[in-house]
Amino acid sequence: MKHLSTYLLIIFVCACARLDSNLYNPSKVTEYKFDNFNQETDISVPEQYDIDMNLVEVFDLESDDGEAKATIKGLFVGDQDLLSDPDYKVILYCHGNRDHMDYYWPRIKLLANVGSKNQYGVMSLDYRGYGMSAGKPSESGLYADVRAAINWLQSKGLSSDRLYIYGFSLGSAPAVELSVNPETLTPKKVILEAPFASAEVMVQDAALIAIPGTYVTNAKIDNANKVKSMNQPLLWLHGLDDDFLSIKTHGEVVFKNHPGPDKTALRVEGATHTNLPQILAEQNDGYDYYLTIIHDFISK
Amino acid sequence: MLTKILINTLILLILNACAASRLVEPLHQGEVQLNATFGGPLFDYDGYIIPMPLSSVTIAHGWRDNLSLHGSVHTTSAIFGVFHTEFGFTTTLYKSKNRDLALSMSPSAHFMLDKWEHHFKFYPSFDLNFFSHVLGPNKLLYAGMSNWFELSNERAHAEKQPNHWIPAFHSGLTYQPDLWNYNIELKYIAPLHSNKDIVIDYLSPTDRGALGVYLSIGRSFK
Repeated sequence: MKHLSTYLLIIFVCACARLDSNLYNPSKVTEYKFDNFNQETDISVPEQYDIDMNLVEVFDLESDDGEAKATIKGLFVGDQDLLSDPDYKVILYCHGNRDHMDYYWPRIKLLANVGSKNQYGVMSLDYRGYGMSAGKPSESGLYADVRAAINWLQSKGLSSDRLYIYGFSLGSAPAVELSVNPETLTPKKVILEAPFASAEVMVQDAALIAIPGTYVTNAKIDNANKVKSMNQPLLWLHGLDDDFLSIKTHGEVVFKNHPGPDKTALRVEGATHTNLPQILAEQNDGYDYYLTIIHDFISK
Repeated sequence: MLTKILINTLILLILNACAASRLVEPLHQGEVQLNATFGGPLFDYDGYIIPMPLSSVTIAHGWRDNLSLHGSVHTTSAIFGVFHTEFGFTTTLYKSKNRDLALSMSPSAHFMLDKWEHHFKFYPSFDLNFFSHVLGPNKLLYAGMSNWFELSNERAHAEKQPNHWIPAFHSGLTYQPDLWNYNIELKYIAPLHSNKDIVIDYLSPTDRGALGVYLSIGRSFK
Protein backbone atom coordinates (compact mmCIF):
# COMPACT_ATOMS: atom_id res chain seq x y z
CA MET A 1 0.00 0.00 0.00
CA LYS A 2 2.86 2.32 0.81
CA HIS A 3 4.37 1.60 -2.59
CA LEU A 4 1.04 2.18 -4.32
CA SER A 5 0.61 5.54 -2.64
CA THR A 6 4.13 6.48 -3.64
CA TYR A 7 3.52 5.51 -7.24
CA LEU A 8 0.28 7.51 -7.37
CA LEU A 9 2.00 10.51 -5.86
CA ILE A 10 4.79 10.26 -8.42
CA ILE A 11 2.25 10.01 -11.23
CA PHE A 12 0.51 13.13 -10.01
CA VAL A 13 3.64 15.18 -9.44
CA CYS A 14 5.24 14.15 -12.71
CA ALA A 15 2.04 14.39 -14.69
CA CYS A 16 2.48 16.51 -17.74
CA ALA A 17 -0.14 15.04 -20.03
CA ARG A 18 -2.39 17.74 -21.42
CA LEU A 19 -4.92 17.58 -24.15
CA ASP A 20 -4.14 20.98 -25.62
CA SER A 21 -2.36 19.81 -28.74
CA ASN A 22 -5.28 17.57 -29.56
CA LEU A 23 -7.62 20.52 -29.55
CA TYR A 24 -6.42 21.41 -33.00
CA ASN A 25 -7.39 19.62 -36.16
CA PRO A 26 -5.02 20.72 -38.89
CA SER A 27 -3.91 18.84 -41.94
CA LYS A 28 -0.95 19.58 -44.15
CA VAL A 29 -0.85 20.25 -47.87
CA THR A 30 2.06 20.86 -50.21
CA GLU A 31 0.13 23.32 -52.35
CA TYR A 32 -3.16 25.17 -52.23
CA LYS A 33 -5.67 24.19 -54.88
CA PHE A 34 -8.53 26.59 -54.15
CA ASP A 35 -11.22 25.98 -56.81
CA ASN A 36 -9.52 22.72 -57.78
CA PHE A 37 -9.72 21.34 -54.25
CA ASN A 38 -11.92 18.30 -54.76
CA GLN A 39 -12.39 17.09 -51.22
CA GLU A 40 -15.23 17.72 -48.79
CA THR A 41 -15.91 21.31 -47.79
CA ASP A 42 -18.45 22.84 -45.43
CA ILE A 43 -20.40 24.63 -48.09
CA SER A 44 -20.55 24.69 -51.87
CA VAL A 45 -20.65 27.98 -53.71
CA PRO A 46 -21.91 28.50 -57.30
CA GLU A 47 -19.55 29.58 -60.05
CA GLN A 48 -21.04 33.06 -60.10
CA TYR A 49 -19.03 33.75 -56.95
CA ASP A 50 -15.73 32.57 -58.40
CA ILE A 51 -12.84 34.98 -58.11
CA ASP A 52 -10.28 35.92 -60.73
CA MET A 53 -7.26 33.96 -59.53
CA ASN A 54 -5.03 36.84 -60.64
CA LEU A 55 -6.38 38.61 -57.59
CA VAL A 56 -5.40 35.77 -55.25
CA GLU A 57 -1.96 35.68 -53.71
CA VAL A 58 -0.43 33.38 -51.13
CA PHE A 59 2.65 34.61 -49.31
CA ASP A 60 4.77 34.00 -46.24
CA LEU A 61 4.20 35.70 -42.92
CA GLU A 62 6.60 35.55 -40.01
CA SER A 63 4.87 34.91 -36.73
CA ASP A 64 6.27 34.86 -33.22
CA ASP A 65 4.13 34.01 -30.20
CA GLY A 66 7.00 34.54 -27.77
CA GLU A 67 7.62 30.83 -27.46
CA ALA A 68 8.11 29.78 -31.04
CA LYS A 69 8.59 31.47 -34.37
CA ALA A 70 6.81 30.10 -37.40
CA THR A 71 6.60 30.91 -41.08
CA ILE A 72 2.94 30.75 -41.93
CA LYS A 73 0.93 31.26 -45.08
CA GLY A 74 -1.17 34.33 -45.62
CA LEU A 75 -3.73 34.79 -48.37
CA PHE A 76 -5.00 37.99 -49.87
CA VAL A 77 -7.89 38.18 -52.29
CA GLY A 78 -8.16 41.55 -53.97
CA ASP A 79 -6.03 44.39 -55.25
CA GLN A 80 -3.11 44.92 -52.87
CA ASP A 81 -2.40 48.28 -54.44
CA LEU A 82 -5.66 49.52 -52.99
CA LEU A 83 -4.73 48.70 -49.39
CA SER A 84 -3.56 52.27 -48.84
CA ASP A 85 -6.68 53.67 -50.51
CA PRO A 86 -8.83 55.31 -47.81
CA ASP A 87 -11.99 53.86 -49.39
CA TYR A 88 -10.79 50.27 -49.61
CA LYS A 89 -11.94 47.97 -46.82
CA VAL A 90 -10.66 44.55 -45.84
CA ILE A 91 -12.33 41.59 -44.19
CA LEU A 92 -9.86 39.48 -42.22
CA TYR A 93 -11.28 35.96 -42.14
CA CYS A 94 -10.09 33.73 -39.27
CA HIS A 95 -11.09 30.23 -40.27
CA GLY A 96 -12.16 27.32 -38.13
CA ASN A 97 -10.37 24.30 -36.81
CA ARG A 98 -10.58 22.09 -39.85
CA ASP A 99 -7.65 21.25 -42.13
CA HIS A 100 -6.48 24.37 -43.98
CA MET A 101 -7.45 27.27 -46.27
CA ASP A 102 -8.46 25.05 -49.16
CA TYR A 103 -11.21 23.66 -46.97
CA TYR A 104 -12.42 27.18 -46.23
CA TRP A 105 -11.86 28.57 -49.72
CA PRO A 106 -15.60 28.60 -50.59
CA ARG A 107 -16.24 30.77 -47.55
CA ILE A 108 -13.29 33.02 -48.32
CA LYS A 109 -14.26 33.64 -51.92
CA LEU A 110 -17.84 34.19 -50.87
CA LEU A 111 -16.67 37.04 -48.66
CA ALA A 112 -14.84 38.46 -51.65
CA ASN A 113 -18.34 38.98 -53.09
CA VAL A 114 -19.65 41.09 -50.21
CA GLY A 115 -21.16 44.26 -51.66
CA SER A 116 -20.03 43.35 -55.14
CA LYS A 117 -17.25 41.20 -56.53
CA ASN A 118 -13.94 42.28 -55.02
CA GLN A 119 -15.45 45.37 -53.46
CA TYR A 120 -13.65 44.39 -50.29
CA GLY A 121 -10.25 42.82 -49.94
CA VAL A 122 -10.28 39.53 -48.04
CA MET A 123 -7.32 38.41 -45.99
CA SER A 124 -6.99 34.96 -44.52
CA LEU A 125 -4.23 32.72 -43.26
CA ASP A 126 -3.42 29.23 -42.19
CA TYR A 127 -2.53 29.13 -38.52
CA ARG A 128 0.74 27.48 -37.63
CA GLY A 129 0.54 23.76 -38.33
CA TYR A 130 -2.36 24.13 -40.75
CA GLY A 131 -2.02 23.70 -44.51
CA MET A 132 1.37 24.95 -45.66
CA SER A 133 2.11 26.86 -42.47
CA ALA A 134 5.02 25.61 -40.42
CA GLY A 135 4.96 25.11 -36.68
CA LYS A 136 2.74 23.53 -34.11
CA PRO A 137 -0.73 24.86 -33.27
CA SER A 138 -1.30 26.54 -29.94
CA GLU A 139 -3.62 29.16 -28.50
CA SER A 140 -0.87 31.74 -28.28
CA GLY A 141 0.13 30.78 -31.81
CA LEU A 142 -3.38 31.52 -33.07
CA TYR A 143 -3.17 35.03 -31.73
CA ALA A 144 0.37 35.61 -32.98
CA ASP A 145 -0.46 34.31 -36.44
CA VAL A 146 -3.48 36.56 -36.91
CA ARG A 147 -1.45 39.43 -35.49
CA ALA A 148 1.13 38.74 -38.20
CA ALA A 149 -1.62 39.00 -40.81
CA ILE A 150 -2.78 42.31 -39.35
CA ASN A 151 0.78 43.58 -39.33
CA TRP A 152 1.11 42.67 -43.00
CA LEU A 153 -2.06 44.60 -43.80
CA GLN A 154 -0.74 47.57 -41.89
CA SER A 155 2.57 47.40 -43.71
CA LYS A 156 0.64 47.65 -46.97
CA GLY A 157 -1.12 50.78 -45.84
CA LEU A 158 -4.36 49.56 -44.27
CA SER A 159 -5.71 51.59 -41.37
CA SER A 160 -7.82 50.47 -38.42
CA ASP A 161 -11.00 52.13 -39.68
CA ARG A 162 -10.94 49.90 -42.77
CA LEU A 163 -10.29 46.55 -41.07
CA TYR A 164 -13.18 44.20 -40.29
CA ILE A 165 -12.52 40.87 -38.63
CA TYR A 166 -14.60 37.73 -39.11
CA GLY A 167 -14.03 34.74 -36.84
CA PHE A 168 -15.65 31.38 -37.48
CA SER A 169 -15.68 28.79 -34.69
CA LEU A 170 -12.06 28.42 -33.53
CA GLY A 171 -11.31 31.57 -35.49
CA SER A 172 -13.51 33.46 -33.07
CA ALA A 173 -10.68 33.20 -30.52
CA PRO A 174 -8.12 35.34 -32.41
CA ALA A 175 -10.91 37.56 -33.74
CA VAL A 176 -11.98 38.45 -30.21
CA GLU A 177 -8.48 38.57 -28.75
CA LEU A 178 -7.11 40.92 -31.40
CA SER A 179 -10.18 43.15 -31.26
CA VAL A 180 -9.97 43.49 -27.50
CA ASN A 181 -6.18 43.52 -27.16
CA PRO A 182 -4.89 44.99 -30.43
CA GLU A 183 -1.21 45.68 -30.86
CA THR A 184 -1.23 47.47 -34.16
CA LEU A 185 -4.47 47.86 -36.10
CA THR A 186 -7.75 47.73 -34.20
CA PRO A 187 -10.56 46.10 -36.16
CA LYS A 188 -13.47 48.46 -36.63
CA LYS A 189 -16.18 45.82 -36.40
CA VAL A 190 -16.33 42.17 -35.45
CA ILE A 191 -18.30 39.31 -37.00
CA LEU A 192 -18.47 36.05 -35.07
CA GLU A 193 -19.99 32.94 -36.56
CA ALA A 194 -20.60 30.00 -34.18
CA PRO A 195 -18.08 31.24 -31.61
CA PHE A 196 -16.75 29.39 -28.60
CA ALA A 197 -17.70 30.80 -25.22
CA SER A 198 -14.60 29.20 -23.75
CA ALA A 199 -12.75 25.93 -23.46
CA GLU A 200 -14.25 25.60 -19.99
CA VAL A 201 -17.79 25.68 -21.36
CA MET A 202 -16.84 22.98 -23.83
CA VAL A 203 -15.59 20.85 -20.95
CA GLN A 204 -18.62 21.47 -18.76
CA ASP A 205 -21.07 20.77 -21.57
CA ALA A 206 -19.58 17.33 -21.94
CA ALA A 207 -19.00 16.64 -18.26
CA LEU A 208 -22.42 17.85 -17.04
CA ILE A 209 -20.95 18.89 -13.72
CA ALA A 210 -19.08 22.17 -13.48
CA ILE A 211 -15.52 20.90 -13.41
CA PRO A 212 -12.86 23.50 -14.08
CA GLY A 213 -11.54 23.60 -17.62
CA THR A 214 -8.02 23.27 -16.27
CA TYR A 215 -8.78 19.64 -15.48
CA VAL A 216 -8.67 18.98 -19.18
CA THR A 217 -6.71 21.65 -20.95
CA ASN A 218 -4.56 24.70 -20.45
CA ALA A 219 -6.30 26.35 -23.39
CA LYS A 220 -8.68 29.14 -22.42
CA ILE A 221 -10.24 30.48 -25.62
CA ASP A 222 -12.10 32.72 -23.22
CA ASN A 223 -14.25 34.70 -25.64
CA ALA A 224 -17.11 35.02 -23.17
CA ASN A 225 -14.94 36.93 -20.76
CA LYS A 226 -12.90 38.94 -23.24
CA VAL A 227 -15.93 40.13 -25.18
CA LYS A 228 -17.05 42.07 -22.09
CA SER A 229 -14.43 44.67 -22.94
CA MET A 230 -15.11 44.77 -26.67
CA ASN A 231 -15.81 48.28 -27.89
CA GLN A 232 -16.48 47.36 -31.50
CA PRO A 233 -19.94 46.64 -32.90
CA LEU A 234 -20.64 42.91 -33.06
CA LEU A 235 -22.54 40.81 -35.57
CA TRP A 236 -23.13 37.34 -34.19
CA LEU A 237 -24.40 34.48 -36.34
CA HIS A 238 -25.13 31.05 -34.91
CA GLY A 239 -27.09 28.00 -36.06
CA LEU A 240 -29.95 27.02 -33.80
CA ASP A 241 -29.08 23.41 -34.55
CA ASP A 242 -25.36 23.78 -33.90
CA ASP A 243 -24.40 20.25 -32.95
CA PHE A 244 -20.88 21.11 -31.86
CA LEU A 245 -20.88 24.41 -30.02
CA SER A 246 -24.31 24.79 -28.53
CA ILE A 247 -25.90 28.12 -29.32
CA LYS A 248 -27.23 28.24 -25.78
CA THR A 249 -24.05 27.60 -23.85
CA HIS A 250 -21.56 29.18 -26.27
CA GLY A 251 -22.98 31.75 -28.68
CA GLU A 252 -25.67 33.23 -26.47
CA VAL A 253 -23.18 33.75 -23.64
CA VAL A 254 -20.76 35.56 -25.92
CA PHE A 255 -23.53 37.74 -27.31
CA LYS A 256 -24.95 38.50 -23.87
CA ASN A 257 -21.54 39.46 -22.51
CA HIS A 258 -20.83 41.95 -25.29
CA PRO A 259 -21.49 45.30 -23.63
CA GLY A 260 -23.40 46.70 -26.58
CA PRO A 261 -25.30 48.70 -27.49
CA ASP A 262 -24.25 48.09 -31.08
CA LYS A 263 -24.66 44.36 -31.41
CA THR A 264 -26.74 42.29 -33.77
CA ALA A 265 -27.75 38.65 -33.50
CA LEU A 266 -28.80 36.30 -36.26
CA ARG A 267 -29.98 32.91 -35.01
CA VAL A 268 -30.44 30.69 -38.01
CA GLU A 269 -33.05 27.97 -37.89
CA GLY A 270 -31.87 24.70 -39.44
CA ALA A 271 -28.20 25.64 -39.45
CA THR A 272 -25.67 23.38 -37.76
CA HIS A 273 -22.15 24.31 -36.83
CA THR A 274 -20.71 24.22 -40.31
CA ASN A 275 -23.38 25.13 -42.82
CA LEU A 276 -24.84 28.45 -41.74
CA PRO A 277 -24.10 30.41 -44.95
CA GLN A 278 -25.46 27.59 -47.08
CA ILE A 279 -28.63 27.24 -45.00
CA LEU A 280 -29.21 30.98 -45.34
CA ALA A 281 -28.70 30.57 -49.08
CA GLU A 282 -31.19 27.71 -49.26
CA GLN A 283 -33.75 29.65 -47.27
CA ASN A 284 -33.34 32.88 -49.25
CA ASP A 285 -32.77 31.94 -52.87
CA GLY A 286 -29.02 32.16 -52.87
CA TYR A 287 -26.01 33.51 -51.05
CA ASP A 288 -26.90 37.13 -51.70
CA TYR A 289 -28.93 37.29 -48.51
CA TYR A 290 -25.91 36.20 -46.42
CA LEU A 291 -23.66 38.60 -48.30
CA THR A 292 -26.13 41.44 -47.79
CA ILE A 293 -26.18 40.81 -44.04
CA ILE A 294 -22.41 41.09 -43.92
CA HIS A 295 -22.37 44.11 -46.20
CA ASP A 296 -25.07 45.94 -44.27
CA PHE A 297 -23.24 45.38 -41.01
CA ILE A 298 -19.97 46.64 -42.40
CA SER A 299 -21.35 49.61 -44.24
CA LYS A 300 -23.97 50.91 -41.82
CA MET B 1 -18.10 18.34 -39.02
CA LEU B 2 -15.53 20.36 -37.27
CA THR B 3 -13.37 17.68 -35.87
CA LYS B 4 -13.10 14.18 -34.69
CA ILE B 5 -9.74 14.97 -33.25
CA LEU B 6 -11.32 17.47 -30.95
CA ILE B 7 -13.59 14.72 -29.81
CA ASN B 8 -10.49 12.72 -29.11
CA THR B 9 -9.23 15.46 -26.94
CA LEU B 10 -11.53 16.09 -24.13
CA ILE B 11 -12.24 12.49 -23.58
CA LEU B 12 -9.76 11.44 -21.02
CA LEU B 13 -10.93 13.52 -18.15
CA ILE B 14 -14.36 14.61 -19.18
CA LEU B 15 -16.88 12.61 -17.26
CA ASN B 16 -14.08 11.61 -14.97
CA ALA B 17 -16.80 11.22 -12.42
CA CYS B 18 -17.52 7.99 -14.21
CA ALA B 19 -16.41 4.83 -12.49
CA ALA B 20 -17.76 1.43 -11.73
CA SER B 21 -19.58 0.86 -8.46
CA ARG B 22 -16.97 0.91 -5.75
CA LEU B 23 -18.19 -1.73 -3.39
CA VAL B 24 -21.55 -3.39 -3.72
CA GLU B 25 -21.44 -5.86 -0.87
CA PRO B 26 -19.71 -5.01 2.41
CA LEU B 27 -16.56 -6.97 3.16
CA HIS B 28 -16.13 -9.18 6.15
CA GLN B 29 -14.75 -7.47 9.21
CA GLY B 30 -11.01 -7.06 8.88
CA GLU B 31 -10.94 -7.91 5.18
CA VAL B 32 -9.03 -5.60 2.86
CA GLN B 33 -9.64 -5.48 -0.86
CA LEU B 34 -7.66 -3.71 -3.55
CA ASN B 35 -9.31 -3.12 -6.94
CA ALA B 36 -8.26 -1.59 -10.22
CA THR B 37 -10.97 -0.42 -12.61
CA PHE B 38 -10.72 0.49 -16.26
CA GLY B 39 -13.41 1.77 -18.55
CA GLY B 40 -15.89 4.54 -19.09
CA PRO B 41 -18.61 5.87 -21.36
CA LEU B 42 -18.59 4.50 -24.88
CA PHE B 43 -18.01 7.01 -27.64
CA ASP B 44 -17.24 7.24 -31.32
CA TYR B 45 -13.49 7.54 -31.78
CA ASP B 46 -12.93 8.24 -35.45
CA GLY B 47 -15.48 5.62 -36.45
CA TYR B 48 -14.66 3.14 -33.70
CA ILE B 49 -16.79 2.71 -30.59
CA ILE B 50 -14.51 2.47 -27.59
CA PRO B 51 -14.83 3.13 -23.86
CA MET B 52 -13.11 6.14 -22.42
CA PRO B 53 -9.84 4.94 -20.95
CA LEU B 54 -10.61 6.03 -17.42
CA SER B 55 -8.94 4.16 -14.62
CA SER B 56 -8.95 4.16 -10.87
CA VAL B 57 -7.61 2.24 -7.90
CA THR B 58 -9.75 1.50 -4.86
CA ILE B 59 -8.91 0.14 -1.46
CA ALA B 60 -11.71 -1.09 0.78
CA HIS B 61 -11.63 -2.22 4.38
CA GLY B 62 -14.24 -4.21 6.28
CA TRP B 63 -14.52 -2.11 9.39
CA ARG B 64 -17.42 -4.14 10.67
CA ASP B 65 -19.28 -7.01 9.05
CA ASN B 66 -21.89 -4.66 7.67
CA LEU B 67 -19.80 -1.55 7.19
CA SER B 68 -16.90 -1.20 4.80
CA LEU B 69 -14.90 1.93 4.17
CA HIS B 70 -13.38 2.63 0.80
CA GLY B 71 -11.16 5.19 -0.84
CA SER B 72 -10.21 5.62 -4.48
CA VAL B 73 -7.75 7.50 -6.60
CA HIS B 74 -8.52 8.18 -10.25
CA THR B 75 -5.27 7.28 -11.94
CA THR B 76 -6.09 8.59 -15.42
CA SER B 77 -6.88 11.94 -13.89
CA ALA B 78 -3.59 11.83 -12.02
CA ILE B 79 -1.69 11.36 -15.27
CA PHE B 80 -3.21 14.63 -16.40
CA GLY B 81 -2.29 16.45 -13.24
CA VAL B 82 -5.66 16.21 -11.52
CA PHE B 83 -5.72 14.62 -8.08
CA HIS B 84 -9.17 13.06 -7.90
CA THR B 85 -9.94 11.01 -4.86
CA GLU B 86 -13.13 9.77 -3.28
CA PHE B 87 -14.00 8.37 0.10
CA GLY B 88 -17.11 6.54 1.14
CA PHE B 89 -18.62 3.57 2.86
CA THR B 90 -20.89 0.68 1.98
CA THR B 91 -23.50 -0.87 4.23
CA THR B 92 -26.33 -3.30 3.69
CA LEU B 93 -29.77 -1.83 4.24
CA TYR B 94 -31.82 -4.96 3.67
CA LYS B 95 -31.37 -8.69 3.33
CA SER B 96 -34.08 -11.13 2.39
CA LYS B 97 -34.54 -14.04 4.77
CA ASN B 98 -33.04 -16.57 2.39
CA ARG B 99 -30.35 -14.03 1.60
CA ASP B 100 -30.93 -14.33 -2.12
CA LEU B 101 -31.43 -10.61 -2.40
CA ALA B 102 -30.00 -7.65 -0.53
CA LEU B 103 -29.86 -3.92 -0.84
CA SER B 104 -26.80 -1.81 -0.07
CA MET B 105 -25.94 1.85 -0.17
CA SER B 106 -22.64 3.59 -0.80
CA PRO B 107 -22.37 7.33 -0.26
CA SER B 108 -19.09 8.91 -1.33
CA ALA B 109 -17.42 12.29 -1.32
CA HIS B 110 -15.28 13.30 -4.30
CA PHE B 111 -12.41 15.76 -4.08
CA MET B 112 -10.55 17.06 -7.12
CA LEU B 113 -7.58 19.39 -7.34
CA ASP B 114 -5.50 20.20 -10.38
CA LYS B 115 -1.83 20.98 -10.12
CA TRP B 116 -1.98 23.53 -12.94
CA GLU B 117 -4.09 26.30 -11.44
CA HIS B 118 -5.09 24.61 -8.19
CA HIS B 119 -8.80 24.61 -8.88
CA PHE B 120 -10.71 22.55 -6.35
CA LYS B 121 -13.95 20.69 -6.90
CA PHE B 122 -16.11 18.73 -4.50
CA TYR B 123 -19.20 16.72 -5.22
CA PRO B 124 -20.98 13.86 -3.47
CA SER B 125 -22.33 10.69 -4.96
CA PHE B 126 -24.69 8.03 -3.71
CA ASP B 127 -25.08 4.47 -4.98
CA LEU B 128 -27.90 2.02 -4.29
CA ASN B 129 -27.47 -1.60 -5.31
CA PHE B 130 -29.60 -4.70 -5.23
CA PHE B 131 -27.33 -7.73 -5.15
CA SER B 132 -27.63 -11.47 -5.03
CA HIS B 133 -25.54 -14.64 -5.02
CA VAL B 134 -28.25 -16.48 -6.86
CA LEU B 135 -25.75 -17.58 -9.53
CA GLY B 136 -23.47 -19.17 -6.96
CA PRO B 137 -21.63 -18.31 -3.77
CA ASN B 138 -18.66 -16.84 -5.63
CA LYS B 139 -20.71 -14.88 -8.14
CA LEU B 140 -22.20 -11.54 -7.18
CA LEU B 141 -24.91 -10.25 -9.47
CA TYR B 142 -26.03 -6.71 -8.90
CA ALA B 143 -28.05 -3.89 -10.37
CA GLY B 144 -28.55 -0.42 -9.10
CA MET B 145 -28.38 3.27 -9.45
CA SER B 146 -25.60 5.80 -9.07
CA ASN B 147 -26.28 9.43 -8.38
CA TRP B 148 -23.85 12.32 -8.69
CA PHE B 149 -24.79 15.64 -7.21
CA GLU B 150 -23.59 19.01 -8.43
CA LEU B 151 -23.76 21.42 -5.49
CA SER B 152 -22.73 24.54 -7.36
CA ASN B 153 -25.42 26.82 -8.68
CA GLU B 154 -23.07 28.33 -11.22
CA ARG B 155 -21.04 27.06 -14.10
CA ALA B 156 -18.51 28.84 -16.29
CA HIS B 157 -19.02 32.58 -16.81
CA ALA B 158 -21.47 32.77 -13.90
CA GLU B 159 -24.13 31.05 -15.95
CA LYS B 160 -26.77 29.03 -14.15
CA GLN B 161 -25.77 25.41 -13.57
CA PRO B 162 -28.67 23.36 -14.92
CA ASN B 163 -27.55 19.92 -13.76
CA HIS B 164 -27.70 19.16 -10.06
CA TRP B 165 -28.63 15.49 -10.13
CA ILE B 166 -26.97 13.15 -12.57
CA PRO B 167 -28.24 9.61 -12.24
CA ALA B 168 -26.92 6.46 -13.84
CA PHE B 169 -28.25 2.91 -13.94
CA HIS B 170 -25.96 -0.05 -13.90
CA SER B 171 -25.74 -3.80 -13.69
CA GLY B 172 -22.72 -5.95 -13.08
CA LEU B 173 -21.28 -9.32 -12.24
CA THR B 174 -18.36 -10.02 -9.94
CA TYR B 175 -16.70 -13.41 -10.02
CA GLN B 176 -14.50 -14.25 -7.06
CA PRO B 177 -13.21 -17.83 -7.28
CA ASP B 178 -10.51 -17.21 -4.69
CA LEU B 179 -8.76 -14.17 -3.31
CA TRP B 180 -8.91 -12.56 -6.73
CA ASN B 181 -12.07 -11.07 -8.13
CA TYR B 182 -13.08 -10.07 -11.64
CA ASN B 183 -15.88 -7.70 -12.47
CA ILE B 184 -17.73 -6.36 -15.46
CA GLU B 185 -20.29 -3.59 -15.18
CA LEU B 186 -22.52 -1.96 -17.75
CA LYS B 187 -23.86 1.49 -17.12
CA TYR B 188 -26.33 3.90 -18.64
CA ILE B 189 -24.93 7.24 -17.57
CA ALA B 190 -26.98 10.41 -17.35
CA PRO B 191 -30.08 9.08 -19.13
CA LEU B 192 -31.92 12.31 -18.40
CA HIS B 193 -29.38 14.59 -20.03
CA SER B 194 -29.04 15.41 -23.70
CA ASN B 195 -25.92 14.15 -25.43
CA LYS B 196 -26.37 16.47 -28.39
CA ASP B 197 -24.61 19.72 -29.18
CA ILE B 198 -21.41 18.68 -27.45
CA VAL B 199 -17.97 17.80 -28.70
CA ILE B 200 -18.18 14.09 -27.94
CA ASP B 201 -20.31 11.55 -29.80
CA TYR B 202 -21.39 9.31 -26.94
CA LEU B 203 -22.92 5.93 -27.70
CA SER B 204 -26.45 5.82 -26.43
CA PRO B 205 -29.73 4.18 -27.43
CA THR B 206 -31.33 7.61 -27.31
CA ASP B 207 -30.26 11.22 -27.69
CA ARG B 208 -29.59 11.28 -23.98
CA GLY B 209 -26.76 10.00 -21.82
CA ALA B 210 -24.12 7.45 -22.65
CA LEU B 211 -23.61 3.73 -22.28
CA GLY B 212 -20.53 2.73 -20.35
CA VAL B 213 -18.57 -0.43 -19.76
CA TYR B 214 -16.11 -1.07 -16.95
CA LEU B 215 -13.76 -3.92 -16.12
CA SER B 216 -12.21 -4.46 -12.72
CA ILE B 217 -9.77 -6.81 -11.15
CA GLY B 218 -9.06 -7.01 -7.46
CA ARG B 219 -7.57 -9.01 -4.68
CA SER B 220 -8.66 -9.59 -1.13
CA PHE B 221 -6.35 -9.69 1.83
CA LYS B 222 -7.86 -11.43 4.82
